[in-house]
Amino acid sequence: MQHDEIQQIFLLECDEGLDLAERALLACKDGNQDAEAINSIFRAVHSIKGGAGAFGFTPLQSFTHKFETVLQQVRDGDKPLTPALLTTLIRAFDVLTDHVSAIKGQAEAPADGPISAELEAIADSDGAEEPEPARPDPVINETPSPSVADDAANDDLEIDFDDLLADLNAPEPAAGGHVIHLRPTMRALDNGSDPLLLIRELCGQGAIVRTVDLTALPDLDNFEPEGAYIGWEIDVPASVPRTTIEEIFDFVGEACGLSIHEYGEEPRFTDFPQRPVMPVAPEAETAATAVPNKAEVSAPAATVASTGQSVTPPKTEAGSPAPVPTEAPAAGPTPNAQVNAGPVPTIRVDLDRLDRLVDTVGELVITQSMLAQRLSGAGVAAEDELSQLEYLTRELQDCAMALRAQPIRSVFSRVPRIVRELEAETGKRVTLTVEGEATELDKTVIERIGEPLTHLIRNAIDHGLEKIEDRIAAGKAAEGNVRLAAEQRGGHILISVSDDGRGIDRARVFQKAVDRKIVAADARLTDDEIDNLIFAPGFSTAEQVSNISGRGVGLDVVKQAIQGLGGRVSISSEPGKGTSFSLSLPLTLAIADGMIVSCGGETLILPLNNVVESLQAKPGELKRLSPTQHVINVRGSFLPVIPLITSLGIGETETVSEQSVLIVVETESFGQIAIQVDAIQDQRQVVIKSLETNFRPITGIGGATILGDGRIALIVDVEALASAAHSPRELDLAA
Amino acid sequence: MTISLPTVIDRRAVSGLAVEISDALAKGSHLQLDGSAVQQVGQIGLQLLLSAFKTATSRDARISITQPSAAIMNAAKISGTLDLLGLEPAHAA
Repeated sequence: MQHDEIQQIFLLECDEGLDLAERALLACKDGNQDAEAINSIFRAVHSIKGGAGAFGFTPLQSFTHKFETVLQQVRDGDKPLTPALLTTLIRAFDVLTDHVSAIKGQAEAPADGPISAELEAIADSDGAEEPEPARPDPVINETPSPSVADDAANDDLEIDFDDLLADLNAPEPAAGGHVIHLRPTMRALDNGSDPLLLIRELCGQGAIVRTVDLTALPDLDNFEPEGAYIGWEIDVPASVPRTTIEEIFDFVGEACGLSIHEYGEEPRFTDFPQRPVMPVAPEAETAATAVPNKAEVSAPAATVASTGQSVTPPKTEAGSPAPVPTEAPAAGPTPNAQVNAGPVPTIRVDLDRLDRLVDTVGELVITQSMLAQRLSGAGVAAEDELSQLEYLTRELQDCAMALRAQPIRSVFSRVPRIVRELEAETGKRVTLTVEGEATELDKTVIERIGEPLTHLIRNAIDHGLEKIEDRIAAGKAAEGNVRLAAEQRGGHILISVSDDGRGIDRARVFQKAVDRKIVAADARLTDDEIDNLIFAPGFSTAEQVSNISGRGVGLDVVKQAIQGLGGRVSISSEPGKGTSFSLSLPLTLAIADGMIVSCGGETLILPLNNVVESLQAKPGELKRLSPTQHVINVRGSFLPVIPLITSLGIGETETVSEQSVLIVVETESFGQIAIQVDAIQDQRQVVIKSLETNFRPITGIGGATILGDGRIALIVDVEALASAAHSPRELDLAA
Repeated sequence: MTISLPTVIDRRAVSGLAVEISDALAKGSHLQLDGSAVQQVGQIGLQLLLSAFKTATSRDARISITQPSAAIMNAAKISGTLDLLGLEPAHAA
């Protein structure tokens, strides 16, 4: 494994650790404070520190060290976890998150001076008093989830990056190497002798200290300066001949107990408690390259006291014997003893491989469809077999798509911090309720949903919730409620952001829209239409521009982002009671349900999530506005009719008539429109192929798919189609 | 409380240091050993430091080595005791 790969694993582990730590912190905040929660936080921070040290992320390592010190005191019961201390820990967690973002190159390193000083002050205090938190104490109320305790088995963040890196950097113990057991006698230090010099010499040859024996080490009260108390077990690589080893120890005589064995033949080293391999760089290398192994300890002092403990040996490569496990005379589990309690086995897979699998399965679906059509055309009766093949193909497809699915928790986990920050900025008090964190979405959707969701949360707190005094005056609780929820509904994921604030002030929204010439002053709009005005580009009702969400570039961007994912945004609001935004997102971007239509001899796909209904105009329902423009009266609403054939440049202008087949589709920007096609063929799931990847982007076309008969069908981009119909811009399909 | 470790932690220095550290651990809850001046440390000095950490643990006290010199770092590194002494690689930078 290469250095970059190991570092990538570390960064992933950081994310997982931060997620676990935050949930544990919030569980504590929610009153569910227990030893396991504290342990979860400690383990996560400890692991990040270990990896940071191994990879040389000094600022991160330094900060986590201070953070960990306080956590250790809390864990050990030296300091009570008061609300004030918890607030400080949450703030420290936020800074830790920023540090991790910095090492990913996503942000600048945070200015951690104040919080570091605070942590150090707490660590040095006697626990009686703690610095007051600098921010108001937010109320985060997460719904019960399988968070801390249930995830204990998944807390295995103790990937030993030092060990992994050592595999790269340190000499590989190979067959033919030796194992040295060195135990200086009590008189080994007489006459100025120092066995450490011998070890230094060995390490200069590439040797590695495998085990340090401190069982004979006394405490200070019984410490005799002339005594020798430490023993070592040392791996010597095959490149060092036995004669060289013997020469190094030529003069120790009987001062040291010494044994030299070839790998695999060394005796059981029962006197030595085991500890993971400590790789030691050759002397020529500076200490800066040293990578101490911290996987087995939670604190240095604790380690010395528990030298008799057995710890989980590190993994070893072929040819390198694993340390012989020994009995553990000391009581108490090690950290690793808990994490080895049987987590669900997982494997990390490169995303490219996953995408290739999904792509291949998509091809299989197409091929299966083609085969079915070919057999049917040839009159071959194979219904049972085809049915079974189709079932298996769908199963395989579902499994493949599930591999790309991730719980939305990774996105939701950012929200508590945003809430905390907004509370501090606005002075409002917020109770956040999160539901449906386990709901799974396609990885691409997960990656792109974060920003719009963040904006909706900011909008809810900044604009939706009233100030505390206003809430009290309105007879509401001082704390506002924001609810973030996700659930699967059919083939879509529904994410909602709701608040119990003032609701949309429609009169004000309408006036603002008139002022900005978004609507005419005499326009008669429904409540829903007025509500949707806030999605208009540049629309903002903020009294003054804030740095939170009032720059007028917010909700329209949210809408565009959701549309870009093939989703929709809707809004509902009740004055004085609150507002709710609903995001409807597809489960996957690789497969979609489509309506197959014919137009000018071509076969095209209309995304089914846009389709409202299909109809044929009744007499009198079609109205001609100009030689090329028609509208249709659909239950009192006049919808523009857009002939697909001319819009996409497929053929000559076709007269819109009462015989025309019209598909009413919903667009985000222009409401409902009616698309005129020649005929409807079918409705089925289609595998989406990117035109951008395989050809070039075409305005009005969102992608392509391969039909069962092998023909390629283009997938209509309804939004772009509506947009082009409302502007003189030409679509370029005919180009 | 802070104790400055001497330039050379040899047998002569260790006798006095053992008593001094033991007394300090009995008085304060957090003892810092300033290792910035240390230029020479062998097994004797290493044992003393490890014993100090063990003693601190048994007395429920805290101890740390601050500003460890390159000599301390090298001794801890080759002996495999960096983590046992609470030392980080960054200290060597």
